[in-house]
Amino acid sequence: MDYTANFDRYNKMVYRRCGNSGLKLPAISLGMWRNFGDMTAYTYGREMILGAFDLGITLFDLANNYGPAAGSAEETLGKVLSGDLKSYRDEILVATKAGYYMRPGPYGDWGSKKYIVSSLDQSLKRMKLDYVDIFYHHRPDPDTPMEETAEALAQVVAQGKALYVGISNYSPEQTARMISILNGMGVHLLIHQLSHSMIGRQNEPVYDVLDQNKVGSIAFSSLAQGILSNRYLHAVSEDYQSKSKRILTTESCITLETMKKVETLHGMAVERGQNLSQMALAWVLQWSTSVIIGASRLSQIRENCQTTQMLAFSKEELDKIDTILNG
Amino acid sequence: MEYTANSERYNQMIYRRCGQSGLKLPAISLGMWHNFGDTTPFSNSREMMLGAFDLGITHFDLANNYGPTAGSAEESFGKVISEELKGYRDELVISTKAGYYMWPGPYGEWGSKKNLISSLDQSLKRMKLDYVDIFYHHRPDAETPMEETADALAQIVRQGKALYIGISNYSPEQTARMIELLDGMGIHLLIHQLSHSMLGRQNEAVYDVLEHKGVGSIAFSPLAQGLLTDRYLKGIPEDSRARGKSVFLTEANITPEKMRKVTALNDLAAERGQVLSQMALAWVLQRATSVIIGASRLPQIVENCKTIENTVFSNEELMKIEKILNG
Repeated sequence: MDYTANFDRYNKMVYRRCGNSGLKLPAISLGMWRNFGDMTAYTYGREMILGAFDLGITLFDLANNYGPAAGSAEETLGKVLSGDLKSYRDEILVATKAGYYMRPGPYGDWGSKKYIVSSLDQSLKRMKLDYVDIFYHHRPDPDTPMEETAEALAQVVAQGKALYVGISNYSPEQTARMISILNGMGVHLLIHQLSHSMIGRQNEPVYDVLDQNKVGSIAFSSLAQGILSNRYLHAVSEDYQSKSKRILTTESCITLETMKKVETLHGMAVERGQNLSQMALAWVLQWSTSVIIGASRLSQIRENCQTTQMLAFSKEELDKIDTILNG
Repeated sequence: MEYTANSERYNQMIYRRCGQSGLKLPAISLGMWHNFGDTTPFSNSREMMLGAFDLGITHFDLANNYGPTAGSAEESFGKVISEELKGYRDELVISTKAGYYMWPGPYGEWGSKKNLISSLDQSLKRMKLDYVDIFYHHRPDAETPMEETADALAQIVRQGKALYIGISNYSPEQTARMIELLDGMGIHLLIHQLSHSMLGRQNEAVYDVLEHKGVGSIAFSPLAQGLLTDRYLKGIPEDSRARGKSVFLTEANITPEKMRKVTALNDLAAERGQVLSQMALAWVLQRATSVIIGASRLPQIVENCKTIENTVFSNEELMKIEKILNG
């Protein structure tokens, strides 16, 4: 079946400038960490990718090791990009990464130039692309000089294998250092990808460094693995004792205290005319250029995209949220 | 015949960080100086290369002129890397060099940019590779400004034809100067390849410069052309390199004084539960990141790799070795 993209797609999404670069990102980006590998039926992966694009989602976030199995999420995207989305390549931002364990031996992990350069070559092959739009170093490597990692990133930009470079999971200090090293090589760091949600706020100091240096940002785990959705609410309101056991085994970080906060936040979201996950995404977008959503069904993507209908918070609402979160 | 690498290969080798870089090298690397050219049956060369990789040897050391004939070792390697080892390219660190005589005329040796650039292009063709992992200037050139050689090396890195840069056979002063010149071009010297063995210690001062600058090292001739093996203990065998027409090891090199030392070292190795060659390699690994072994048969590689089972020396052992060598 021939695919033609929804002609209305660009009227539904908000696009926001990534730092002081020329690139705009959709407020909502699709993360392919899970649910797009070869353990998932290709028809589901394809449906979500095309459905996301129809909703104006132009950024697809991958990494070398996304799957499972590692590498298969890139193969899935490659299949859609060379098939249904073939003529839309230039309307799409493809991001991938290297830094976590990918293959056995001393060159399949961390931050050596050897690993980073060869990993991107493999990613391009799996996705059947000449270049990606954004290439990330996925995590800092304490044992490799940052200069070497920066050199690898500068090289992939110079070779045109990536248009822009990003980093992920770097501390504020490491971020400042990488920005300065890359600057010395004539490369502007486009973006930092960091974990951030209402109940996972440990990385907020990173934003200060990014703002100072006009670097953009994109947040992952913004729904805290689903805690900030309706998914676990009933577990609290219904039979907490029995249900909580199940929650605690699958999501060890959910405490009763957290769930009480989540319930209060849910009430507030309803007042705003949103559901909890939409408010949680909108709240992160107060900080970051874009948020990455995961999904196992297209309907989840649709629901998350409606976040853009109500992004603004009043001062009172923000104060109230802080009170709830700190309470 | 299909080749599948030994799944245990990475549990059998030690990998050591090469100076202050992101790259780790196997303690034992395979040198392809001799025995991999077109005067050796390809089946034997292939058996050694695949056997080495199965033992966790991830680093294959070549040069433009290795053979014999010159260039044919790279061709042998190219055959294996484009067939049996094709799926393993990114698990391998491949090095080559230019600097010694390679082709007639004024541009076929030494250190001009003309020689280095064109020689690497030829090497890449012979090996059927897009890039090598390490490219070396093989020997210093007294008549070419070191700036020009450094410029050639820097260009090669910027073009992505080599990931890392090395030098070989440079004196301590020349090494320090090249490190500084490359630094000025934003390139970190990865490695120095130098001759070093218990019986050939003239280059030890180079290590001081390297350690001071965070540059790694790899030693060749660690067995002194076979003198530091049990091969010559009971006289000179008919089929040995010394009996043949090699200019690198002649009967005149094998003096009674040397053989007395070798015999004493052999006794010490036996006390350590090693053969002499294993102790000789372990001893060089006290200073070098990796040692290059040559081989004409796979069992030699297997035996050399067992070195890593005992690379530690007590203070007493080291002093005893000094006494034997200086005695």
